[in-house]
Amino acid sequence: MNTEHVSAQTPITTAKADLVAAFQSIQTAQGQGASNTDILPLIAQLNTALQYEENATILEQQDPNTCPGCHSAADADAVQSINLSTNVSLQAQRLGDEAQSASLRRSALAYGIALGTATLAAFGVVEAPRLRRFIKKRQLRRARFEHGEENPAR
Amino acid sequence: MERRILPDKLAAFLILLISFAAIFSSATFYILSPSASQPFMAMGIYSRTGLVGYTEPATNSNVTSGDRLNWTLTVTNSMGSAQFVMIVARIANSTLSSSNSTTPSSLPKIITPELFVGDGETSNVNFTWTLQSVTPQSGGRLLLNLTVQGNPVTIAGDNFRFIFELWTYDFVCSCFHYGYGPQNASTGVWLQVWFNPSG
Repeated sequence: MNTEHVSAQTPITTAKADLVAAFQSIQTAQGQGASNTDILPLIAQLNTALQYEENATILEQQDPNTCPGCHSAADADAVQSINLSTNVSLQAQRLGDEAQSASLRRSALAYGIALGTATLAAFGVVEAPRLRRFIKKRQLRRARFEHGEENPAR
Repeated sequence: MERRILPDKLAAFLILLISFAAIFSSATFYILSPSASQPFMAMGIYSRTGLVGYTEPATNSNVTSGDRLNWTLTVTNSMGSAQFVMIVARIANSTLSSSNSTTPSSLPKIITPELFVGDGETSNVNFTWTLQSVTPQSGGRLLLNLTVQGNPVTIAGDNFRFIFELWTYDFVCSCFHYGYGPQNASTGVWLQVWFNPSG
């Protein structure tokens, strides 16, 4: 696919534009955090769409006198390419959106845990003397109780 | 006395809370951030018949007319995202200049296969060529007739080689540019394979 700017919209020019748009959707999805495992099947589909588009370009360059069916075959291949590219674009957008919301949830949870831990830590430090006093008091009470049980005559 | 302790405790709590929140948030940011990596793309070539000569003059690359050669080009993508790649194949002799790390060769393109390569993936591209005929000329020069992926190619001279360049698609210019990375600071990727033709 050569990247010449063509103004007339034929199925082949649409197929070329859709391939680039689908590729852009994949890159955006990856930027949003879509996993490589999810993206690789889309890359394979996009390579198939590229093959259809290249085949369509070759068929369109054939002389209609020597190959009368070539132009309609080229259009059919271009349409196949467009369908595949559109499908890839839609799937990439869905994957990107899912990855973004999952990433947002993960971040919210992680920062929430961080803030909760910070609150507990601050509370623990401030209330440490009271806690120490409470533990000491309990230990003292237990010691008195045990002491009293061992020497009931006292 | 009790009245004074409460605001002091609150102030201490707030100071500690802010400090701990900063520490734990920094740690969370570090954990959530993707690890830094050096993005790169690479290209290689191999042949099942063992005929690939990187050295000049070609030592292990004798090709006689009628030979059909099947080479495989590999493209590795470690850019962190999928790449739209074009390989530009050119043929050169000793007088024609090669590509370098910043500028592609100005020799005419023979074929330009395109493909999408996923991140962390290595893709293969077949490169088949046939040496059709070798015609000796004056001064030890040779005239070669080749077929590359079905396209006829003619070149005269000596010390022949194929040059392969890696080009990547750039959304800014809506075009392919030489190498990878941003167009104004791209890193060129190319390789050349020398061969010795004989009749």
